[in-house]
Amino acid sequence: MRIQSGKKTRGYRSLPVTLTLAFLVVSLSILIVSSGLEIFFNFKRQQLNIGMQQHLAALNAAGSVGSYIQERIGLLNATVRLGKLLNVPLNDRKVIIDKLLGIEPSFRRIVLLDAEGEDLSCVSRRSQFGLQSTANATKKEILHAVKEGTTFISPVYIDSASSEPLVMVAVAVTDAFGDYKGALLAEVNLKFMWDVVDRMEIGRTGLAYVVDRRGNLIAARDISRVLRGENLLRLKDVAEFSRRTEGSPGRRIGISRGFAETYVVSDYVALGMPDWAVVVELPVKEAFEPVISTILITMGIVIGCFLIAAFVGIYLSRRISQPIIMLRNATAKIGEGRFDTRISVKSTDEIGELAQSINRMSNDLQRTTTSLDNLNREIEERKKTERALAESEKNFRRMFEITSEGVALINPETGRFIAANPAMCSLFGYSEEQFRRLTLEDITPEEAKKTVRQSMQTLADRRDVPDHEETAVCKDGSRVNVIAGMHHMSWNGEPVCHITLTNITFLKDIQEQLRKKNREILEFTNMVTHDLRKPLTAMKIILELAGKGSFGALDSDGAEAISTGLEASRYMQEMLEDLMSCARLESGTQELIMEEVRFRELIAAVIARLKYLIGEKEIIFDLPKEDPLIRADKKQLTGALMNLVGNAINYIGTGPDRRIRIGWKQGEGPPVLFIEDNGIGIPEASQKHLFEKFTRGGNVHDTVGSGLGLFIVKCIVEAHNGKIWFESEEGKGTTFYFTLSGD
Amino acid sequence: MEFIGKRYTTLAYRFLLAAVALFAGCGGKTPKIYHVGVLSGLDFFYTITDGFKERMNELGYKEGTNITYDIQKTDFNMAEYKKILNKFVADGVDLILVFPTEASMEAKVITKGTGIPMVFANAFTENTELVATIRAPGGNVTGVRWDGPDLALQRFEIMLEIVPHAGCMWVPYQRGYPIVKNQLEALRQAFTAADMEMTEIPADNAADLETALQKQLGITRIPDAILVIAEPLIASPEPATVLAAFAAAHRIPVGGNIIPSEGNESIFGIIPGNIAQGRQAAFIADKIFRGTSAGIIPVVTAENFLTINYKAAVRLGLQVNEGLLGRAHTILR
Repeated sequence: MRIQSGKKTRGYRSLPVTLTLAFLVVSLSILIVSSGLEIFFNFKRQQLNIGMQQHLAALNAAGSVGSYIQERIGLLNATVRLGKLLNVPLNDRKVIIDKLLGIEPSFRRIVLLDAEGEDLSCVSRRSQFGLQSTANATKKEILHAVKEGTTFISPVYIDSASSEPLVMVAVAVTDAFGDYKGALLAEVNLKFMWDVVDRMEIGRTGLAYVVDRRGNLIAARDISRVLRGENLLRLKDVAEFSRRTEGSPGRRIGISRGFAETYVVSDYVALGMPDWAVVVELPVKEAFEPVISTILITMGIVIGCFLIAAFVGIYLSRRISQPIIMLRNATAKIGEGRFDTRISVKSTDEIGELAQSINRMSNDLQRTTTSLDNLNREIEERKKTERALAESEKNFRRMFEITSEGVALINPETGRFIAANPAMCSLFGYSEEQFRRLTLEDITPEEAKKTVRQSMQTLADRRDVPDHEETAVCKDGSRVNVIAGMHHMSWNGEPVCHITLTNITFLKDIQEQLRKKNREILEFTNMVTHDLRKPLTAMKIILELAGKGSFGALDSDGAEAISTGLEASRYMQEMLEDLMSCARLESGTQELIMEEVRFRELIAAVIARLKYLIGEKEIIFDLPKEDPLIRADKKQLTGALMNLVGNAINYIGTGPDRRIRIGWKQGEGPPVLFIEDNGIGIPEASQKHLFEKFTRGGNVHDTVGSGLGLFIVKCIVEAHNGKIWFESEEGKGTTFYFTLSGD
Repeated sequence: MEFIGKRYTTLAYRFLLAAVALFAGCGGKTPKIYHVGVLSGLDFFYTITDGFKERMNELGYKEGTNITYDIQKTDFNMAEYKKILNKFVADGVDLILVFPTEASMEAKVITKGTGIPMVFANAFTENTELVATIRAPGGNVTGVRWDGPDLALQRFEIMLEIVPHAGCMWVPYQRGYPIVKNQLEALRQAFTAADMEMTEIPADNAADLETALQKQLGITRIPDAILVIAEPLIASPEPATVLAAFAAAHRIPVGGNIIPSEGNESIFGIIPGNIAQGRQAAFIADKIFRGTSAGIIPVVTAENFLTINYKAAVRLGLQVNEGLLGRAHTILR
């Protein structure tokens, strides 16, 4: 992580890189110097070893080659000394030479010469027919050499017939006194030496070859080059052997072109007798193989050590620099204000102590910052709250000021006004300032002050006073009717009374006017009903008399007409009764005479009165077994039950099991009375307005009715402070429930 | 830091892998296994194979480990020679050891251009075009030869040492056989130089030989000796028996080759040894396996081994001098 947003600073180099490079440079320097010295001394040591090995190989090869010739010279000398070649008969002499030929396979021909060079005896492994005698010049050279006491060894020559290399070896033949008497000459086949040279192991790929003093190749693995008579004076060792008069160069190491024209490490050893040298060569690659191998191994070790050093360097540099980098990164983060940053350096050194100090500092900063943040947050929230409160207060103030109802705050203990809104001021004719000097009793008429004090006490007990009608006194002494609502509340931490006064003076006036109108309508209705009842009753009596034949016999049409007229008159009478009841109930002029009524008895009477409705209908009535006492206006209750049971009979339908169940249920409050039928039910569309005037179910068109019955029932129940409701499903039946409080 | 660390670690791993790959390549070579096809064209010389394997084993070629041999035997059957040699070529052998002369000549023809080196043994190089020269045979051919003319002359000289007063010798041989030409030529010169009479008796087989011998007996006197030269007729059992029986019937010493006919043996034989030739051939094969081209390896002349059947010579009343006995590798008493 870089402090400067990843941009490299000019000349920037990270600490791990610097440490790693430093470690690698130091390690590599040590490795190179130590390895270089090791390789150098190893090279010198190996060079010495190679020289020694080569010389030993050359000595070994020279020993093999030299002994090959020496052994045969020794055999010739032994034959001379033991055989008494000059003192035995010719046949015996030949036998000796024959045996010598049989003993040594490399002897191709053996010739015994006398002191003058004449052949005394000659045996050959090849046919002697056509075999050329040794040249006289050669013989002379041989005799001269052996006479001087030296062994004669000729140059190597190739036999033209067999292509085999031959060398002529001759030793002196002497008498018992050692006097020179001739020479024993043998042609030695060098192909056996070739085999010896060919099998010489000079390392894995090295070789040995034999040259004479003139540089002629005598023996080598590649015989074809020997047969070609190749001269090798161009080669360094051969040339050196040719130049040196005697001895070998001793141990030395040199690189030069060799027998196969490749670079070799070579050495040679002069045989002395014969005057040949054995040269050994080892290719440079093989000779210095241990050095090369050592260099490769050393390089491998260097590379391995370098890799290890690289790993160790990276590890150590990271180990050293990581805590510092962590410190740097942490301080950078703290600088950016991230005070929750912590450093997890576990070392116990100075860096560890520094990390702990930074952690403590960061911790302190975080605590301080947290406190400041909390404080700022709290202030901000408070400001928000204050703004909300101010706005709320402003809104409430506005609502307080614009509302049309008089609103005021009163100290519940003293009853003094604390505040009053403009509507309040307008209602009573006081300014707000004047209100603050008044108490609630100051605007209360004398007769209501007791009630007001009770209300104040209720508020002092932290309970609300329900809305109720009151009369208040205005500044000018006039009175106003108000609906007063009083609620306790807290204002600036103090308990206050919130009072709402709604001016209902004009409503009272309207109510009074309506009552007056209602009384007039009722009086008119009573008068009309009374006036209609008399002729209707007369009409009914006449029809009944006519029906009974008091005015003569009636035919069937006449009887039916009379019956229809009688039915219509009864309906009109009932209608008049309903209208009268309606008028009384609506006008509130119907006085209730409350008494204890036997419910079952009353039901039975109602059913008896409705027999004309039941007629031929087969209806089963289920009545309650018990007969509870109900407090009600018996007459009114009878009217209500007549309507409800009559409706049940009218709309019982035509089902097979027509049943009307009438009873009551006792709940927590007053008993619930019910009338249940399994008739045609009430359509859902008609249910909502069922208790309204002149409303009938949508499925009762065949039945005659005024549409006032359920309205009257509702008025009667409500007049008893009760409630009425119903449950109905079209086609299944209807159940009406109602209560009567009895108060 | 982490990025830098990963980069260096990756580089280090790559370096390590390269080093491992470098050193992993330094494996050893699988040693080569040489496959040698051996055609033994004449049962009489089969033991050359034994000498060859014996010497190869001494040179470090262990059968089943670094060398395998496919040894095919047949007895002077030219068709079989071709078949066997073609099989060797098809198998891609590393070297063919073949003997005797006729099989070697066939092998030279069949292996020409294949690059398969062949080493012959028990073969004559004169008049066979087997090699260009014995010093530089050329091509893919080299081997161990018999020096036929010199061997014939050596047999003549040894016979003279055992039968010193001989004036006439018969020389039977396979009629028309190419390698006898040079031998007869050398012998003719030697007999002339020694003022002796040589009667050549060519024959095709045992019966023909018997007829020829009887016929010659009617023409000339009984020879002082019968000289056997290097050729296939007397090397075969039946003609050898015929010759031995004829010589025994007329008390004629037979020499040159060992004839193991009970009671009628030859008095001496000088021939290259089979085992020795096999060993010489192995040495050449080793040179070839070590990288020298066959064509530049000079043909090696087989070493001759002298066997004196002293008992047979005495039975014929002949004296064998001590010197000759001293040169003999084997003396049968």
